[in-house]
Amino acid sequence: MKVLVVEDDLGTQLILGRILTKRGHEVTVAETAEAAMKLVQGSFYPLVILDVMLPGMNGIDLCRWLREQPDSARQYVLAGTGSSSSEALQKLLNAGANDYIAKPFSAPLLHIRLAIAENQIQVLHQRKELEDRLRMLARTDSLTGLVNRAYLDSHLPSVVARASPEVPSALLYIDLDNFKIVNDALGHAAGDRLLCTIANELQRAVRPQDTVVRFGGDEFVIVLEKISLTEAETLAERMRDLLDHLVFHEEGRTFPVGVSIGLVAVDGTISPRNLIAGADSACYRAKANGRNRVEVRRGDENDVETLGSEANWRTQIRDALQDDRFLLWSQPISCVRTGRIAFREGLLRLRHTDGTLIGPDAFLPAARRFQLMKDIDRRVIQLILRMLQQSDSGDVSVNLSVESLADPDFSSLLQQTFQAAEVEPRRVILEISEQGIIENFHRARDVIEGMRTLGFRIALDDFGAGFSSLKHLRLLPLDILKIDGAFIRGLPGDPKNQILVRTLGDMAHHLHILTVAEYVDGPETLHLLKDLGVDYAQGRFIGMPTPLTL
Amino acid sequence: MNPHDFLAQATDCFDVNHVRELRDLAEPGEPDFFAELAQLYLQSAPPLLAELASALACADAALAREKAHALKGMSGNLGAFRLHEAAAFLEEKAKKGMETLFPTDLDQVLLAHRRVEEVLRSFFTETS
Repeated sequence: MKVLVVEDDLGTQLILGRILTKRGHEVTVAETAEAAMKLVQGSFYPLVILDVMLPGMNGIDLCRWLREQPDSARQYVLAGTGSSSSEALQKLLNAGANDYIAKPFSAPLLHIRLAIAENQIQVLHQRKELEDRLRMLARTDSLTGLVNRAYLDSHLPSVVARASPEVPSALLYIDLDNFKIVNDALGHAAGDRLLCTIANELQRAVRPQDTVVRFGGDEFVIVLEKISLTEAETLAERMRDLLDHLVFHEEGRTFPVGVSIGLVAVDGTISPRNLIAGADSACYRAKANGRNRVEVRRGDENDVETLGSEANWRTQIRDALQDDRFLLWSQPISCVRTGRIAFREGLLRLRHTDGTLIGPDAFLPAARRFQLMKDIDRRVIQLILRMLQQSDSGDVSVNLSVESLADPDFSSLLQQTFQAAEVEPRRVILEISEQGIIENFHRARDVIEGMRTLGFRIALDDFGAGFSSLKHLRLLPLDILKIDGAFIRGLPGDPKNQILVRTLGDMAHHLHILTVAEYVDGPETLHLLKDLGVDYAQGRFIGMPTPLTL
Repeated sequence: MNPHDFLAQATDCFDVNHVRELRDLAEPGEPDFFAELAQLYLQSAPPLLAELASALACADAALAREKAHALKGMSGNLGAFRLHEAAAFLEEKAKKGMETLFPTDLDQVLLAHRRVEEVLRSFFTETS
């Protein structure tokens, strides 16, 4: 092992040199602390034996300096001292010495102290190796062997710091186009094999200075260092082409792979988080524009900042789904004639990691954009079931997204989950918006009919605000019509709205559909609704949303 | 000269065990390590003592302390315990400043040094 002896006395140098050489060490001598510092900066010495009394800087200050150096944790410092006062020895240990040995040196004692030091250095070395290995494991994706997101988080800031408009780098966000198909058709093991294949291909396609990261799921990030935007585009296009021609074979079947790639230039002016958000957004655009494409994110920092916040929501939503941080509040809906609570509407909230509650207006736009609505709906159904199983809360209404309405699997999922939970579907009113019906009327009608057959009641939400197609009232098997709040706010002073509400109510009743008025904020409105023949009322005056206590 | 004979006559100024440990550091066929250190002492001690005397004469406590410390280390390595004690005593006094130091403080050191020098010279005469 390399040993640095810091000692000005020639006799002591000779004794240490003789004993250390006998023990198989390679000895370097520095006569002053200043000379030792130079040597340490150029090379690592696992063992430093230093004299406390040195000309110039003393051994205690040298010891402190050594402890501030990188790798100091695996360096063992043995201090030789003529002083035996406990105060002086404490000072040495405080400065970072591992052990001391009294001077003048006794050869047998020195042998013992060196044996202890060697043993300890071995332990320090093993610990360092273990720490390095753990650190590496924490930064490596166990499936593909690529570095992971944690590594990217620590690596990207230095890439940004090195980059400038003159010497730019680039970041690619890559999303597999058909991963879900492979995963669903062939199972997770095949999906894993596909990810490994892609990881290898990407690794082979980049230059040695570039970093390929498994970002999560079927998403990869590549950091291309010192590259112009044009060169980066060319490289990204080559990767896309390479993967477009890659065919994944499994169980005698073949699957085309294909990737969508978002590219953003790194010029040192955009934060790492916003770079990833920008590249992610470009990748989203590549998917929206038909997949199997490269899209370049251009634009100013502000633009990227906005995207950063949306992409941030995406992570928040995903994390909240995973950590079970979505919850339901409920608002009562009363029978206008009797005043009794008829049912409650379940209202979604997200509990932020800092404990604050966030309403749906904040996160639903991002959830729609990043195609997370179906996942959220599924979670809402679980929450509803939990609520119906655990409390005698009466019937419940809940909003269903356009995306779930278009999902052919959603009805069977509802059936299975309600059966498994042994909850009667008739206790649940599914609220749908006209938007979802317009996008695909026939499919929506089939799904709604399917749900009604299962026993669910269907409400059409916000009627009157948008399309308000009478065709929907005529052709859809609806149970409830929720009249948009725009007709109810200020109702006592608005004769026209009173006529419209009465007409809507009459029309609905003739079709055996019940009506709900939203935004009921006072006794006058409630009284009027009774006269106008509205069945149910919801709003501040009836009851504010409150947390569900299960 | 047989090391035991040498040690027998030097116990008043040398730590016998320490000297034996130093001599044991040499493997058979290797030069006597004690002799190597002794040679170094005979060369280095006289100028060091001269510098120490000069520092005391000039009332330079810091320099006196530094030289006393060096002499302490040199004698300690050799196992010359009497001289080591005298040098340590001088170093401690120098640490406290010139007020406690007198030119005569050097006498104990010189006395111990002369005895060490005498023993070492006879050691080399006997072993040559």
